[in-house]
Amino acid sequence: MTLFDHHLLALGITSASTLGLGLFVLYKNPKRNLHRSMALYGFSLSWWSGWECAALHMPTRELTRQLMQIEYIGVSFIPTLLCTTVSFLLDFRPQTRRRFLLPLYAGSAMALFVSSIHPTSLFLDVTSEPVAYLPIWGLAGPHYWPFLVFFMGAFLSGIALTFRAWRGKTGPERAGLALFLVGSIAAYAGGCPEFALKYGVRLGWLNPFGLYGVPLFIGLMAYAIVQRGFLGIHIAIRKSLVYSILVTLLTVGYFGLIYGIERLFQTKFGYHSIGLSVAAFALMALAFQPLKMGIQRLVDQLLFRVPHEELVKRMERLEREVKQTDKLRAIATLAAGMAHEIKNPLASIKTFAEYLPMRYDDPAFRTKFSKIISQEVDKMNALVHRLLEFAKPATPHLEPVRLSQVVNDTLEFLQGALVQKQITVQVAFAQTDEVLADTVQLKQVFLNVLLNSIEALGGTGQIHIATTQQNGSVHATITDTGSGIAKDDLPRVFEPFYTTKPRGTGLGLSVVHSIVREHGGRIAIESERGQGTTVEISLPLNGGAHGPHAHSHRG
Amino acid sequence: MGRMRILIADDEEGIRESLNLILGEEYDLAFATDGEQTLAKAKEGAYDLLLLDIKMPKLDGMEVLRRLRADGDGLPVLMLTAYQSVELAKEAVKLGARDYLPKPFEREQILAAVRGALPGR
Repeated sequence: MTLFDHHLLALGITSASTLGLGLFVLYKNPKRNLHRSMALYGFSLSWWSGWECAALHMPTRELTRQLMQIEYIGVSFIPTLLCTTVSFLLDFRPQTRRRFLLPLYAGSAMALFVSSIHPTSLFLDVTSEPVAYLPIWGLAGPHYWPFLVFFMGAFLSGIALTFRAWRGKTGPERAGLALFLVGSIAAYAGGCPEFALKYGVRLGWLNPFGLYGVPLFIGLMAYAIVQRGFLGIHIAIRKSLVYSILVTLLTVGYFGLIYGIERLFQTKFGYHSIGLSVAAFALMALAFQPLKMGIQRLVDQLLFRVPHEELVKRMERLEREVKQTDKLRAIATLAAGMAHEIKNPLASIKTFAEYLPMRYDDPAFRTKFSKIISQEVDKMNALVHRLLEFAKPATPHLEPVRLSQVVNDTLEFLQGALVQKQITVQVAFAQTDEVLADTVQLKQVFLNVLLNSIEALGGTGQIHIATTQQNGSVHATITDTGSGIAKDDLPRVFEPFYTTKPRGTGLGLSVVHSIVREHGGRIAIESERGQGTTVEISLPLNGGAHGPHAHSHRG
Repeated sequence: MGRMRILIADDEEGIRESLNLILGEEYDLAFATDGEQTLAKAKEGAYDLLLLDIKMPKLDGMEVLRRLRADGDGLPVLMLTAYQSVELAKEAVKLGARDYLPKPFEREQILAAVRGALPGR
């Protein structure tokens, strides 16, 4: 390939890839300003490279000049749109953004204006004398340099601001900004030597190979989007990437094959295009599957490789977060119920305080006063303590605990809801129902199951809770007389985010499932629409053969 | 005419003592600490008014009221509760409760409700 071919190829790739990036970003979130400005930035780069590529193919000096003039509409907005993107990327306040961008847009508009009224003198004059490796090329007009100053000034200020923001950031955001910075610098370092050519100067290998820096920028942006969630885009484009490479390879292969074979055999065997096409097609069909697997492996290795430990860590973190989210949701329900319970002690304290001035001289009143007040304050303290104890995130901690105790504590939490809805709860506990478990997590299990029962009952109704012990396991069954679960929903109730409630999170039972499983137990649900629901939770008996192995931290 | 007799049913000592402060000077008071005890005492027929908490052990207040009415007992009842809900209030009034008082309560509010609910006033 000649240097001129490289120049054209780099421009072509740049035009296609920047257009693709712009469209993709816009498609992902057409309403967000950051995405819009990033897309416009991509389009301006695509405009520049596309028209320049076309201009270099023009047969006459005049046509080239006209196309280059069209090209400069995009060029004059490149640095301004970069800065606009930066201003959204770094979340500028509207006032700061206006102050920063207004002169830049004025500069771009000015460049546009001048180039349209003074087509040749300010910007470009086109020569058909070869410049460096270019057979036809635009030369700088006498006043081209102020445009260069504006262009470089705007670019450098955008880069400087991003750099400053990058230094203050941490985590994935920092990584995203770093890729944006490196990519931008590569693109401009590679693209700006074009300006030197306008003065007939070639800067070594930077012309034309530097131009490949622009698609490199696009590659880095794509990587940042895929791997780092840059621009807030979290996507799985693995499949589409594999298929687009596959289709490109197959198409190129197919036509290459036909072209090559025709060239080779045309003279010897005559022309057998149809047979050849079928044969080539069959070959491509055979190659499809192995080729797809190969590309998939390659794409996985290059773009989507995440170390196993990192995956495990991510999974664990997600599971913890899901549990905590679910717990907070339960706490909101509990807190509403417990606010009622605080009213009892409040009522006593209020009355005794009211009578204090009238009865102060009565020693019997004073004794009662101090007893009741301190008693009521203790009660409120216990209530708050219980809630906080449940709320705080803690590392799982196994200890021997009676299942009946956990059930009773959970019912205590739910007193408010039960009284308000007039739900009666009947319990029957086994003599021995001790398990080795994390008490807080088990409470979360029973709380979720019971909250579901309460919701299914809708109002007055009954809940039966029983614990039994059998074959080294403790079973807890919770039965309600509520609305039950539809047959179609039953197999999916443990799936995360699966919910049939209008305001449900779909986390409750999936958290229950995961906690029970982690304790070496199992859970089963029997239900029929309109017939109520029975949940059975089985956990290994403490000291039984199949119990989870852990040290007791009690005492 | 002797003093009016009021039965106060609440499992919370603080509440019983508070009502004793408010009503003790004007009325004769008796106390019950759970639902079954309340039902037994109410059935003695010795009271002019029942102040009934909803959340109580053994039988809750609503159930006590339901059983009293089922036995044809027309004893005036004032519900007293920390659980403010429209459904509960409606249900209580449907069962013949005279009023539904929220906790924490005002001294004057209790006195007025009691005076209003007592027969012959």
